[in-house]
Amino acid sequence: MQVHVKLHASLRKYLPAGALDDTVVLELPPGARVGDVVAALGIPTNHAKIAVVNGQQSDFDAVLQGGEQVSLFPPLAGG
Amino acid sequence: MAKTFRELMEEAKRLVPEWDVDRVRQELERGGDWLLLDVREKDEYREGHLPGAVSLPRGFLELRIEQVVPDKSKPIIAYCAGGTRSLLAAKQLREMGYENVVSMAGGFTAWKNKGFAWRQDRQFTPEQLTRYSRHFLLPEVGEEGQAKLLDAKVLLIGAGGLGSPTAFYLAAAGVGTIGIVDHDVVDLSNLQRQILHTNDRIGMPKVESARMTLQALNPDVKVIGYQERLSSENALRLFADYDVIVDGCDNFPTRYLVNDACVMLGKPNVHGSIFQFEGQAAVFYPKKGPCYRCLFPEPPPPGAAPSCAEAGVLGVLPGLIGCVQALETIKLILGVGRPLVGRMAYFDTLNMEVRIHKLRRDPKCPVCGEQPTITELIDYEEFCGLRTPGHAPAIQPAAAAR
Repeated sequence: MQVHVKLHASLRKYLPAGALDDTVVLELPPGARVGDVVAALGIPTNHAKIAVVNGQQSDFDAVLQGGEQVSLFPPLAGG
Repeated sequence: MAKTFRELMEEAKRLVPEWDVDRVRQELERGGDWLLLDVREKDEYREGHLPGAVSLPRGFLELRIEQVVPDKSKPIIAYCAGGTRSLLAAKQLREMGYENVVSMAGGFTAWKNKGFAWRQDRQFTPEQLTRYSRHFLLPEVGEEGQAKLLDAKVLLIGAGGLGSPTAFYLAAAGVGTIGIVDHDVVDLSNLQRQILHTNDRIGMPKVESARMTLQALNPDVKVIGYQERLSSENALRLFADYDVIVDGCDNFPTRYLVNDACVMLGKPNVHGSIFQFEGQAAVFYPKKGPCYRCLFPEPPPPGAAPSCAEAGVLGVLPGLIGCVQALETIKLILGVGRPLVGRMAYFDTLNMEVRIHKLRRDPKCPVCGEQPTITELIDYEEFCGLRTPGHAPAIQPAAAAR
């Protein structure tokens, strides 16, 4: 199954080369969870703090069905 | 056929029930769903009106009534000074489809003469009437809302990139007391985005520079500067006097400190944070929605989320996010609209994408959850891994909003 993953702010450095619009399409096995997206992209687990799936905040252990839009956010420090 | 004034009044009396002031008071005391509509001129309303009455001068009645009262079945009691203008206004409302409109016979004069309760709103100076005239035109603000703004006290954490536009717009809007906590001085590298400050104020304390700018913009505003670093020792004392806290700082220890102090005091925390071309804003309102810790229970490892000083920032970005913070603050003060509680506005300005994400409370949150484990302010430098327990700071914490 496929999910579309968008990385924000300081997480963008984990995008594969050539990713358009800060988005990557990931192929994941059935039953994959949001946390597996983080691992698949090589993002240290304590760097991605908020996961949003289809516009709603999600747990990292939530199971994906395929076709979702997943956004991952770090906290932002600046002001 | 042309009608005389007398004929118009007779027609109005046939169409509109007239209640004397005793009957009106009885109905209001009974707690019915009545809208009290004062159709006198604004200056008459300002000198005194029935408690809870909405002002809509006769001259603007047809123009604005559908905005003020969209529901045509809403029961309305119209009144004026003596009962004539309100009778004609009520007739007009009936002709516009308002089904249940009565006119108060004898008007405000009879009401006052009976010794019934009335109130006088804040008296604005002629300068204020002009300065806030565009606010007065908005039903969501009006004179009552402007009085709330003038009475409001807002504390800004940081007079930097975010704090600058927030402070500017809150002062322009007439927020009566603006406190600013910032221990830093103006630096040349600030001026690319920190629009409160100017070239000739380099080296000046930011709170002093902010005070000069804001008071030049609007002398109605009292600006109180706290040239100190926000800490676990002073936060609860500083926050206690304010209605809304606006977090425009630039480091994680201060963000957790602001959050925890707001939760402990039950005060709304209007959050903004930025990174290069991206920014986010949210309102963390204790008991009404998630807090900052519900989203970020643990800080990122040191160095994982760089500050503006480390990663750079487009100068315009804090302008955008700081304006959202000012807007949300004003909505909270006025009690209008739908604040960003339980939602986060996220701006990706390089792609110009704006998204609103729904957030949720964490029932296990250590500060605002069902069984909080953090019940007093802690050592936030240590919590964020910036120093080990019992040691002096290993890393000099970033200055507030540097």
